[in-house]
Amino acid sequence: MNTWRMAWRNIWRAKRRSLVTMAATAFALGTMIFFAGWTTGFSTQIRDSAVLMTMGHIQIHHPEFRDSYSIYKFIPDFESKIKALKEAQFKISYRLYANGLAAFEKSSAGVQICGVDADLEKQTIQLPNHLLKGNWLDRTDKDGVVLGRYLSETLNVKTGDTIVLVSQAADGSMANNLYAVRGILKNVSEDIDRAGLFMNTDTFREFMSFPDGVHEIIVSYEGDRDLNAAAKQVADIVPDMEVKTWRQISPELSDLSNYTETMLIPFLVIFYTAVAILILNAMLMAVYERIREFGIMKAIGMQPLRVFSVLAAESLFMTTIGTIIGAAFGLAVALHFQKVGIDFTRFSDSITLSGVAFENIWKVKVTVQSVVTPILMLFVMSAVATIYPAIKASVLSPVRAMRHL
Amino acid sequence: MIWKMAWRNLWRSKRRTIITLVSIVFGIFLAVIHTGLSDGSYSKLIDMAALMGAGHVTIEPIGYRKQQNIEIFITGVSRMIAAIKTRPDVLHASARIVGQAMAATAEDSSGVGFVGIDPFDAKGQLVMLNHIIEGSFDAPSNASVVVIGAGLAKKLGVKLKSKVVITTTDKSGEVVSGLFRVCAIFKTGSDAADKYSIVVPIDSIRKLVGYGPEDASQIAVLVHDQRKAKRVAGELSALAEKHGGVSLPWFDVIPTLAAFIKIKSTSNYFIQILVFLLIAAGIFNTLLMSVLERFREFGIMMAMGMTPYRLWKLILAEASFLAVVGILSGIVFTAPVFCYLHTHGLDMRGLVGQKMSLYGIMFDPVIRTALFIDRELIVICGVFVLVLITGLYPAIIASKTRPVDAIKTL
Repeated sequence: MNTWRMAWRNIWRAKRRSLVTMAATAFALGTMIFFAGWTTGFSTQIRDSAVLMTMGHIQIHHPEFRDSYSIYKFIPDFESKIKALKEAQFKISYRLYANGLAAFEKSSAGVQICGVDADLEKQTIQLPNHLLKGNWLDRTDKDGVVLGRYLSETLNVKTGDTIVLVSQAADGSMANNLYAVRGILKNVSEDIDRAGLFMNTDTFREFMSFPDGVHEIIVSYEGDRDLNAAAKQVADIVPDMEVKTWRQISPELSDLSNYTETMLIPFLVIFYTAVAILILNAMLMAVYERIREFGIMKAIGMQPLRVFSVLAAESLFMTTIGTIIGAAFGLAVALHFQKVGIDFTRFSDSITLSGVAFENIWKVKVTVQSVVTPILMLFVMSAVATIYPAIKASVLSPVRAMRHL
Repeated sequence: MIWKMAWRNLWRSKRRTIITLVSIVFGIFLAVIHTGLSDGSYSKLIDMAALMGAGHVTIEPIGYRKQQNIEIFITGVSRMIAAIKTRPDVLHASARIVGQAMAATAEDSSGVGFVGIDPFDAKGQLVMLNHIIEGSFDAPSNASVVVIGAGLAKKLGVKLKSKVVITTTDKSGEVVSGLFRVCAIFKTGSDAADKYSIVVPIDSIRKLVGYGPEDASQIAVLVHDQRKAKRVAGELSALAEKHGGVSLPWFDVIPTLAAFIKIKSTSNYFIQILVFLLIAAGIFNTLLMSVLERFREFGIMMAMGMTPYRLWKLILAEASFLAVVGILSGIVFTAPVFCYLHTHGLDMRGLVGQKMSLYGIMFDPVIRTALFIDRELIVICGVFVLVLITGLYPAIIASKTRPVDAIKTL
């Protein structure tokens, strides 16, 4: 009889045993897929919150800008640079910075005025979606501003109120004007929460008498790319400017994301060992319990190689069925939590780590790798767990095998 | 008789028993190490935070959290410290004066946070003093000396014995300044400490800000076991109130760290549940298999007069023996690894670099298992219960064997 058919029949002859084994492998795989998705999500979340919320992956400045934050250290000829970056498939946004003083009724506070392109900002980073109240800037809006959360509390303003903004314009004159508060941001980062004031670039240019140039170009990209390689590509496009990755701009956040990723490793090892033991057990039991049966088969003339192939085929069948069930179950759970996230907000709603606010809902992230790696691991582990007992069963002499309990 | 039979059954099919035992032993091993490592990594972070800042429990003036100001202070500290030190769970308690100041030299100036502490009483109390790379803090408590971080020293351009002017406000809000000599330089690896912290003898800072000898900003209490911080804080509150202060555990003093640890520990519990599920599935699998394989045997036993109830008991007795033997060997197998990880730790230095900090709290890249015996006992009992529970279903199946059918099956 055909080896495959025999293996297939063997599986269903002892239905209960096979089902138990397949259930064990399916369970192991399902858990692995969910877990892999969860760890991927966990370790990218800190990075993504920082990168996508305010910083972008890479930032371009005038080489002296970050030391002085001087309005005169701008990036010249930025339009051609932006065009070149866009052609290289990067998403970009640009900003203009100045310091000023905002006042409302009796309160006043120092602010960092940030001129942004409202639409580009929406395409590049998440900031425009993190409003506590009101709306993000509209591109045509000439006198609207959006404030950081604590800044609005310090000034005691609500959306719709009109604030006074004072600063020294680029030409040395005194700038002051009235602006309407359109929106208030949620906790984003320490700096923005305390002092962030956003307005349209046109409004900024008019207010600050700053006709040309930008201070910061934010570059981000989609998908998993090597950060340093991307930075190098950007640096080639804008050779005489300072190009820094988010890790260089915020080493603390970089540390934090390294910390969480590294600290996960020992626990990953423990988890996968537990999975390996489950699979090993299931496969070992499935073969060892039947050594007597193989003794009989060999006694009636079955070749050792044949015994081995039947066992291997059985294991392959069971692992495959287990994989289908396990992958379906694991993916369903993982995709569900990818959508809704695992909510830890009852422990603490939003926390600020190294100046960046995180929402305490952990999203599972399903990637091709987080599904394929567990499946490969399952097959390897099943193979390892089958080969040894299968060899043993195939070389054992029939008499001893039949006595084997 | 049941027990004897169960015992013999186990050793009659050695291989099966060994496979089951291996899964229990590994179950214990993984669960215990996991618990130990995760407890260890938080305890370490918390202990570090306690050493970096204001102890596991801080006694401070009422309202200090809201307005951290040199103008409010507690008094009668030496009597309080004496009372606190009588508690067996307290490792140490010391008075501190903390505040903001400006440190200046001819070259540059920088805003700093200062900690005033008694040099004789400071050994092992502050992270900064544990990482002195040059000089020493052995000085009378009224000496005008200062310990500064390597980063700050570089910025101010000072070496040992250089002079630094420290300017701050005194208890009535007047600006005061004093001349201090650098007596030691520390390097912790945390920017917050190395660039922005200084340590000065407590009496010299008392003189500067106009405090009496019994006044201080806070009393920092270190406890043997960080998990007791909350209880100790609660029990010290009566004493604190008597002196016009409050007693706070570390998680009220450093809420961001508390939030971070909460997130990390939630995620670790989560992994732990998954690991437990996997272990349970493994044990269940072997127990169920060993029953399924023995239907014929059960059939024969029942044909000879074994009652279903006795058979049920037999299987559970086997499971309990497995659990006991598994747990004992599990402990034997786990203990050395656990102890090794407790004393030597798991060195993550290769992965994270030499030193790193989190919120300005220096973080040791060697994780050790925490020796919280009660936690490990709970885990071990958990595995025991797990084995018995997973044994229930196979036992029920076995007791439902119908002799005729069973003998017919292969």
